Amino acid sequence: MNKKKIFSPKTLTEYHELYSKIENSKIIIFAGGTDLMVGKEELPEDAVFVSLSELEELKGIEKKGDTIIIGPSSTLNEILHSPVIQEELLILIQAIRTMASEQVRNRATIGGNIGNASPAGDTITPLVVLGASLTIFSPRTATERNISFSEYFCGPCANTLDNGELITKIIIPIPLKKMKCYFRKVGQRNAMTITKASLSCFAEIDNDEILDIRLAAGSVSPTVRRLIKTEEFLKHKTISERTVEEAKRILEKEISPITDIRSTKAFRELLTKNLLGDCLRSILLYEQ
Amino acid sequence: MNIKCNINGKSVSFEAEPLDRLLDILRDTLGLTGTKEGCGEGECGACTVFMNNKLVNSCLVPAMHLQDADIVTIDGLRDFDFFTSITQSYEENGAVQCGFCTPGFIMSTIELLRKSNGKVLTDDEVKSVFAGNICRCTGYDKIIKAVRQLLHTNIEIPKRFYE
Ligand SMILES: Cc1cc2nc3c(=O)[nH]c(=O)nc-3n(C[C@H](O)[C@H](O)[C@H](O)COP(=O)(O)OP(=O)(O)OC[C@H]3O[C@@H](n4cnc5c(N)ncnc54)[C@H](O)[C@@H]3O)c2cc1C
Ligand code: FES
Ligand code: FES
Repeated sequence: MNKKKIFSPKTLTEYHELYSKIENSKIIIFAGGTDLMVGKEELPEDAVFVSLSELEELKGIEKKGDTIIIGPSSTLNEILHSPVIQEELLILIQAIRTMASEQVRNRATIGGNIGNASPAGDTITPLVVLGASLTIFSPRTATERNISFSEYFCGPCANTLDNGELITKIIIPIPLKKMKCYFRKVGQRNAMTITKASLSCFAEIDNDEILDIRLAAGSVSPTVRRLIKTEEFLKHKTISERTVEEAKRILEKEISPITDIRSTKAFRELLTKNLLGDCLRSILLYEQ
Repeated sequence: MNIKCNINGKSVSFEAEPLDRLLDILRDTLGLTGTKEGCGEGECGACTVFMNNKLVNSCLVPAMHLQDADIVTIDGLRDFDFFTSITQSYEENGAVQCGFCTPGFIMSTIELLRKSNGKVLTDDEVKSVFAGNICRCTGYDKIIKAVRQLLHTNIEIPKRFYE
């Protein structure tokens, strides 16, 4: 058993050339392997693995004009310690700080977190409110295309990528400095925890008035997406206890959490509403 | 596949399947049994080793990523003075009870010592590195005390852990 076929292409062109040999097999892209190794016994016996470890094109973090481009093979710790990310994308730092452990963050990649497409993936809600998009490489045609997160997800732990397709870039517009950000996740304990509920927010506030706001919640819907109705309600409101309570009622209708071993539906609803309250109060109260 | 890599300063070569875990290679193929298996899922940290100078869970590292890698396990530390300082501090502070978690905690302690580089770290900084290590016996307080004591003495961690 366990006779796995592995390929480690060094370039995307090499991957394209190799692809015709493997296109009829189930292809499993292997980045840091922290998700895949945990479930390795359940992987299909006849799967073909494409390891990204030698694909230099997928590494690195760079600022390009008014965007930041993160290579999906960047590890969570590389992102956490990157001066560019610390300077421009505080919300991503806040999120990654809550993820896994030093040991896991040294191996786990951001591409793997997105690739896994879990509704509890902690880099995903920040990327959604940041308005990030993904570049996807199709090994059949050797072409790249861009997609948004709403085109990327198609269900819990499911994405729209075709067999063997790769995320090659994560493209993030640099947010304006005046935008305030918020990330919080709640789990069983502080460190090393899988998210029961999380909330990411960007808001532009002027004299207590919300000029613009973007919200996304994790673990409370089959896929992560923006909370458009709650956002619409909050735009051009000044924050008072009444607006907070009203916003919570709208939020409740907009999410659809499930009961699982980590939490009940009702508890997740309450958590997410409380996170929204905490978020609205804290972005107003604290200068960041 | 044939893998060549460096383990505890010695170059070794062995046959492995691409998804074989570093943990099993260390324990079963190479007989380096200091590294322990607790959960096998990256949660408990008992299997912690350094790979290319980074702290990793050996239960999550597949053989295919080991080509040319540099691995340091608890078994490779015996001859270093700093290792004796660490074990002494653990003993003096009662930080070892059943000892199952100790090899992993010691690897994370080394990471802390090199992070601190002479500075005294806050409890939060210590806890954030230990977040990946679970101890069922000591309640952590004694381990943190042991580390505190180490942070106040000037311990030299050899260069090969830095580069
Ligand atoms: C102990 C532990 C704690 C954890 N804690 C957290 C946590 O707090 N929050 C959290 O969100 N996650 C957590 N995780 C999950 C995991 O570590 C992350 O999802 C991680 O980012 C996965 O990255 P990886 O490189 O290891 O992925 P891999 O295991 O290599 O891959 C994961 C999936 O992504 C696909 N993939 C990888 N790269 C690409 C690419 N470039 N293009 C297309 N598909 C790709 C793979 O095919 C696979 O389906 C934890 C895991 C463990 C073991
Ligand atoms: S055995 Fe590897 S982390 Fe528990
Ligand atoms: S001393 Fe027993 S698990 Fe830590």
